[in-house]
Amino acid sequence: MAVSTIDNNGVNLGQLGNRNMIINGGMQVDQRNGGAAVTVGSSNTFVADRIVSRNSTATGTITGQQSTLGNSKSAKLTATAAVTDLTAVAFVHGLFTLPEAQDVYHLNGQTVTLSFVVETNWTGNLPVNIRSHDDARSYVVDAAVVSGINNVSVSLTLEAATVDAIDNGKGLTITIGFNNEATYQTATTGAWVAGNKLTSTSSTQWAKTTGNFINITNLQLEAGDTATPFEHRSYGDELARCQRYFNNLTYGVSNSALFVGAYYNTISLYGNISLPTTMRVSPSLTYSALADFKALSNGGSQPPTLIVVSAHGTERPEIQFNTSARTAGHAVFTRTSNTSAWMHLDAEL
Amino acid sequence: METNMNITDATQGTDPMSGDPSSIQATIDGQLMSVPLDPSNRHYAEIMRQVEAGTLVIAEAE
Repeated sequence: MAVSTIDNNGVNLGQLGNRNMIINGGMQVDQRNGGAAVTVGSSNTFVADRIVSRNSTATGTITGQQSTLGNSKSAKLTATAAVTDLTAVAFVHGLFTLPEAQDVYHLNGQTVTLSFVVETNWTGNLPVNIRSHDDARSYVVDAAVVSGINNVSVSLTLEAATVDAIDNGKGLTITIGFNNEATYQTATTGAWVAGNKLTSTSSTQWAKTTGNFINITNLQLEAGDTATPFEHRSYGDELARCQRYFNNLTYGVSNSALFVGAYYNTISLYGNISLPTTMRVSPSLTYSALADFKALSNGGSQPPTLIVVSAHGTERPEIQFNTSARTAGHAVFTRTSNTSAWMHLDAEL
Repeated sequence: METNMNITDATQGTDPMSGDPSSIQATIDGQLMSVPLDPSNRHYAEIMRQVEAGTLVIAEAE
């Protein structure tokens, strides 16, 4: 086909890429859990990369897990034991994600469409919510769902300052399936309201029934008033996007290499880890246990007595191990020592 | 809606090579963690929030 003949009739506009502002909307990447179930805690609990939940109540049990829905991976929350207290500020957060400000700032004042596929085993009103960067302005709408698979799309116009800056902070929050019967409820749906509101007085409190679940995939936020087909990205593409926020350096593999370094003095060794992508901010380092790692030098192996990031950065953080006395200047290799070992770098919002 | 991280055993770390404060070691939600001194890092922001609220004290490194 000659270039001159290409026009709107010759181009399938639905195939244009980079429409979706949501990272891991297909729920493909789960670096933290590797698909294993997690109990949702009172602080942020990641069900998949960039997809979070919380259960602030002291009641019930909410289980999160990467799952499947149709031909896609999904993120599933199940009330494995019913939550009984949703009064005052007690809540089950449903699933939420935090787009970075500089990725969505251009949507201020624009009409956007949020779409997703959700499977439930209950019929009722599923709250869908967008909040401003500071949680001071909220938009709630109830999506009527039936037991089974539902396609949901919501179009709304962001306010002029929904996102406050072109930077690496939180742009806005998208939440699906929030449960609360007091502080975070609003009677107003389909319009922006003041305050931190995530559910409506008509929303179904699905987590109050044991066995109820929400199973979500193909989450997409795009400019315009029309939901276009979900933009499927390759696993590698999605993983690279997720690694801006989280890096799984090693997970469940014995003798997995971490970094090569040298002893600066008789107890402290240093080495750099080159990250696959620039992280959002200097990351926190967390790990399973000191005994799960080892430092190998001069024909011997030592477990660390301390693991910290000694020089922070978004591309090549420097890691310090302390061990029992060795020889300053010796080269060293660091590895995991068993299959329980994991080490993570976290720069999430 | 606070993040509600459970933070204990926070200690100020010092880089032996430079002598400068390098990070904060803490147990956050039961996990050992080394946190950079970066206000944009969510763990550091929460540590500082709890310190300012008087519910967390950062110990000096031994």
